[in-house]
Amino acid sequence: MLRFELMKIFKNKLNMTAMVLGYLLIAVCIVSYISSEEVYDSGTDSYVKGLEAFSAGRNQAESQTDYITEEYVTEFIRELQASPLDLDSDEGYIEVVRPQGSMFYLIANSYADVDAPYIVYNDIKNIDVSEGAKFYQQRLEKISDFLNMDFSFGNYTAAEKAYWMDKAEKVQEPFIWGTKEVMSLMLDLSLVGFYLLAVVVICISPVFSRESESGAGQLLFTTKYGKNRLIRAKTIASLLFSLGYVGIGLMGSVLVIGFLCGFSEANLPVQLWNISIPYNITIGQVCLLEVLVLLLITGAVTALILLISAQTKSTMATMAAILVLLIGPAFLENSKTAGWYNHLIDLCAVRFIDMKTVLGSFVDYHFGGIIVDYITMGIIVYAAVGIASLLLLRKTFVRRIMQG
Amino acid sequence: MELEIRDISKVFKGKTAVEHVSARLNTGVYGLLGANGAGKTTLMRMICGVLELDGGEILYDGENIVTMGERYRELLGYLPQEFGYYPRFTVMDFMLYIASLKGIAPTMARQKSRVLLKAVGLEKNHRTRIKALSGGMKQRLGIAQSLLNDPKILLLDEPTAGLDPKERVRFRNMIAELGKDRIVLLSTHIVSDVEEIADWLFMMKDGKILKQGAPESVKKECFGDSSCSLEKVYLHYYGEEDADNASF
Repeated sequence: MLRFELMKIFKNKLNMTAMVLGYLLIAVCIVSYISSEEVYDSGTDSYVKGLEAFSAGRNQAESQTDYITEEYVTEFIRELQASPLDLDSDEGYIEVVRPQGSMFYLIANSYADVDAPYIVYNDIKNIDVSEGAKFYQQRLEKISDFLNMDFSFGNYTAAEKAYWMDKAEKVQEPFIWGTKEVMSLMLDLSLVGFYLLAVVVICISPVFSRESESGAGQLLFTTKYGKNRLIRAKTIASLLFSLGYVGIGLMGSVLVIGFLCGFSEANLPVQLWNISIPYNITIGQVCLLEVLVLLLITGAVTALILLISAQTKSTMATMAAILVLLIGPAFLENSKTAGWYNHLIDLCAVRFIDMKTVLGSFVDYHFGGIIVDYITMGIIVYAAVGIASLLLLRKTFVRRIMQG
Repeated sequence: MELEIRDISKVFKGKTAVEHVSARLNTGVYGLLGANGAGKTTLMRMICGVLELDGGEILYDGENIVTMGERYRELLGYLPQEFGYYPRFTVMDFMLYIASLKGIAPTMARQKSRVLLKAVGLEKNHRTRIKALSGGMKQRLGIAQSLLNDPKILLLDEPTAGLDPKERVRFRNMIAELGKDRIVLLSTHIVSDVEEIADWLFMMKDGKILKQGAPESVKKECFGDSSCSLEKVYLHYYGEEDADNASF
């Protein structure tokens, strides 16, 4: 039975076209992302692109330091302060800032005010390093400043502040230094994974609705297993297909990028993206988390598609409903006053899959005395949506067919 | 073996499709005659258990078919009115699919499918996609799938639609043979489908059973002459203007 339900998915011309286009899109994105990567190579005093950019970035990082220690940061800042050049001038940028690469931005950002709209390069000259850089202390102070800001939609409670500071303090120091571009690329590609989800919507929407649409449901329900095992087979086939398709697409992308550009950055801390991220996690772990989160969302969305498909007689209506639920929230703006609304739309798939933003957002959900971070909350919500949809599925489809 | 239909009714959006229908069916061929929109398909679906009853109950050997569940469906073979699903499946794919739904083991399913496809004249088309079949061939495939589980209750809704005269004769002979050891209920608005083979007739109009009985007694009751044609009886009850009435 499972074989035939999978056949129904794969023997559909529209489905096959969508599947091929989905993977083609990922391939185009990989090529485009890699070829657009550009880095200044201080060795050749020129900009390099594509695969060369990744190795140039790696070489530069290796020539700087292995670990971002307090001693290294202190020395780094002193050297910049010793330069007579105006760092915000073209000459200052070319001679001093540019050769330092992303190390400059990491350190400068750490000392910038929490609500500064952009980095002023010369501010690094004003940092007092007479008693050392206090780089990691500065990081915690910056996080604390953020948590103590006034927000129009509601401030952090004392319990929430303590929660986040506790998390931030557990981040392992000193940070391992390296170039994070490969892993950034893998993570950005997970947004492309969202397009694979659109393919899943196209392929899975007809699973139940087409049986109602065509009248085949009436015949199927006269068979011995039509009201139970058939529904189970359709569900399993749909989940196998969607998780397999999205999983292969994501893992394939990760492997291709990894083999082309290298996996060596997997053990770098996520704080290299954003110094304020409070999670003690490596970039490689985040990439894996992103894949797992996307697969969870895929499973939940598949279950929801099946439920809506079981309820409607129209495949197009099912597709439209799901696409609105998935893509619609991308157009919603945060409220300036209603924090609960912002917390709700933050859980929409289109926001939740952007792990870089999720990690640096300090979004939490509190229920009485319990505080749950954004990632954990998202996992709980999508697991609940998936399970609830599956539990309601059989009854919904049987009722649909039996009502005529 | 007895299928008892006890005072069943079905209402769709305020319109009564089947109204207080009762009948007892034992081994044999039963013809369900009526114009389009008489409620035949709705009644068939209710007997199949794919439509909820709004009143009454259906019993098989004294047990409610809803309670029986899978055990009842194991006894059923059903040919729907419009047949032609899964256009990209081949003929054999479809037979094996339905066989799996009927709980038939794969090896037995393949064997049975071959035999049935031969019986309906589709043995050479087992690799043909359903969308490439003619209307008559699709109908024959529908008949074949309905027999996969050797059903004790065979429900055929407008089974001769799309069949040419030669196929119709072949079909009638097949049904007459099948009716010897099972309940066969054949719904049609084509009188000749049932005239020669039905042991019992139900004449349906506006959701109700107008008349029922053995063909000879129905004819005699109508015209006092059991040798007159069933078509004449049909026209007497349904009239010219009712012949094309289609409510559902």
